[in-house]
Amino acid sequence: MQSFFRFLYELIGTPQPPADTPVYRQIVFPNIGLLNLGISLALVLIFYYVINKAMGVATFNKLRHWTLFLVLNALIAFIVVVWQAKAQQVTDHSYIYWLATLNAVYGLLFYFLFSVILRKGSTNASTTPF
Amino acid sequence: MAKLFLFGIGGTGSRVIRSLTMLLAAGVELPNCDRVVPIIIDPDAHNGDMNRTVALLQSYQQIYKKLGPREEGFFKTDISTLSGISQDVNGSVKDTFIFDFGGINQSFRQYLSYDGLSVDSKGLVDLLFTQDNLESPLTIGFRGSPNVGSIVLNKLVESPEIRFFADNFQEGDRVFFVSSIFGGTGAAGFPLMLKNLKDTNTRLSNARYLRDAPTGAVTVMPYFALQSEDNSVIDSNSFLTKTKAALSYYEHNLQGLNALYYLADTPDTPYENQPGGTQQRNKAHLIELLAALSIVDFMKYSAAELRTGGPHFHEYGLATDAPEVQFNHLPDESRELMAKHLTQLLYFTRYHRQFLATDKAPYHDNLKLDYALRNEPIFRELQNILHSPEFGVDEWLKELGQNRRAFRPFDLATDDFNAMIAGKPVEKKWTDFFNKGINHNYFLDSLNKTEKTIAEPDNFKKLIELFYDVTDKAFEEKVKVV
Repeated sequence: MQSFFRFLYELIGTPQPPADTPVYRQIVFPNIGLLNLGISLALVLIFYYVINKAMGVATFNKLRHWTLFLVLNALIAFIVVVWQAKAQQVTDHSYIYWLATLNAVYGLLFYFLFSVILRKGSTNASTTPF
Repeated sequence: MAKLFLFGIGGTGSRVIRSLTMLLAAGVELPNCDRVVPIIIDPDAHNGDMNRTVALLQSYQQIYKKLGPREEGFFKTDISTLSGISQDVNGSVKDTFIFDFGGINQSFRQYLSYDGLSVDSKGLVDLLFTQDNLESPLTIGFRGSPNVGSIVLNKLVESPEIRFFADNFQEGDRVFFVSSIFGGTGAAGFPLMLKNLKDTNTRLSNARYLRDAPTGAVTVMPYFALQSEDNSVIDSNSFLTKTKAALSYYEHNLQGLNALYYLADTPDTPYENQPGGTQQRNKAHLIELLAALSIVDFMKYSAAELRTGGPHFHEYGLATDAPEVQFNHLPDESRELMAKHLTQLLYFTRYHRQFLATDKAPYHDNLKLDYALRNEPIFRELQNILHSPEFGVDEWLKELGQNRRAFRPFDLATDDFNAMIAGKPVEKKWTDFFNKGINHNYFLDSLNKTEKTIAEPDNFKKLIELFYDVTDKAFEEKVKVV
C-alpha cells in the first residue's frame, strides 16, 4: 500500500525537503491517501444513501448539490494534508501545499468514481450527476 | 365483452356524460361492463355543452387507446364510439359520439311538410303545436318543447345508427338513458327511445336481447333556473309544470325499465337564458355529477338483481343540506365511491401542472419526460384532458365550485397539497419534524421509489400507472379518510 500511495503522490516529484522523504513515504502518504478514500466514500454515501434515500429528501439531488459535496470533499482533502504535515512535524515547505492540491484533485477523482459506482442504489439521486 | 350503451339525450345528457367521463378518468370502477358507448342525442349540432363533452370523450378515447385494459388506474374504462364497437361499419355510421341528425336545416313546419297536409291534419297540428313551435328552427333543438321533440325523435329508430346499435347488441349488454324531464329533447327523447327499443313488434335485430337487457335511466328534474327574458322561448317558470306533466306520463308509460333514478334541486342563481347553439354552455353542476354516480350505481347491480322486483326507483339526498357541498356533506356511499378517486385525480392534475415539466429526478430521467412532454402527441393529449380551458379536469372542478349549489370538495386556490381537501387538512404532528405531509418532496421521493417497481416499457403507460400508485399511497398514508 505504501508503494501505491508513493506512486500516487510522487507524480509531482519527490517530497521536499529531501530529509523528510521517509516520513512522507512511510506515514503521511498512506495517512492522507486512506483518509481521502475514506472521506470521499463517506461523502458519497451521505449524499446518495443518507440524504437521497434514508432521509427521503428528494429535492437535494441536482447537479449543483452533488457539486457542493464534490467541492467540500476536495476542500477536506486539502486540509487533511496540511493537518497531517503539522501532526507529523515535517519541515514547513511550499511542497506541503502542492501535495495538498494534488490530494484535493485525487479527492475529486475518488468522489466521482464512487458516485459512478454507487449512484444506482440511491432513490432520489440515481441519475446524478448524469 | 359486456357494453353499456349510454344514451345522453339533450344538453343535460351531454353534461352528465361529461361528469361520468371525469369519474372514469379518475379511476372510478364501472362494474359489469368492459366498455362504455356514449351516444349523444341532440339535434342542436352547435350546442356548447355537447361539443365540449365530445372533445373530452375524444381526448379520453385517445388516452385509453394508448393505455389499454388494466386492473385499476386513471382512465381505466374503455370509452368507444358506436362505430368503434364493430369492424363491420360499412360506412353507414360515422365514427363519432354524436347521433347524426344529418343537419336538420329547416323549421318544424317544413319538417312536417305542413303546407302539403290536408285541412284536417293541419287542424290537428294547429291543436297540438303553437305557431312558435311550427316556426322554430330545428337546428338548435326543440327549445324546451317536448311535443316537438317527440315527433322528430320518433324517427330515430329508423336511423342507421340505431340499426347498427341493435345489430351489435349482445347478451349481457346494458342500456342507460340520461335526460332531463323539464326541457325539450330529453323529456321527449327518453320515453320514445325506451318505447322503441323495448317494442315487442320492433323490426330491429337482436330484439330479444334488447327487450331483456338491463335498462336504467336517470331523469333530472329541475335543478336550475334561467334568467327571465321577455323574448325567450324558454321560461324556467314552466319547468315544474312540465315536470309534473311528464311524470304523470312516465307513471304509466315506461315499460321495460329496470331502474329509474330521480334527481332534483332547488334552483338558486339563474343561468343566462340561451335556448341553444354555441352559447348554451352551462357550468358543470353537482346534480350532473350525482347523475353520473347513478350510472355507476346502476352498473353495480347484477342483472338478476335488476330484474327482480323492478322497476327499482332511486332518489338522492345529501347527508347535510349545504350550499357549498364538501365530501363530508355527501352520504357515506357516494363519498366512498368518489372521494379518493377525485382526490387522486386532483393531485395528479396539480402535480402535472406545477412540477412535471420542471422536475429533475430519476423518475423523470428514466421516463425521458423532457423529450416526451415536448414531442409525443399522447403527452399533449394528457395535457389537454387535464388542463384544457374548454373541457379539462381543472375547468370542470372549477365550474363545479362556481355553481349553486356548489360542489367544493377542494380548495382550488391553494398550492399546498396538505390543504387541498376542503375541511380535511393533512395533519402534521409538531413532534414529527421530518413529516411535512404531502408536498413536492413527498411526491418526488414516492415517484422515484415507485418508478423502480413498475416494469412497464412504455413511458406513457408507466407515467399514468406511476401517478395512480403514488397518489393512491399519498391518500392512504396521509389523508386516510375524508
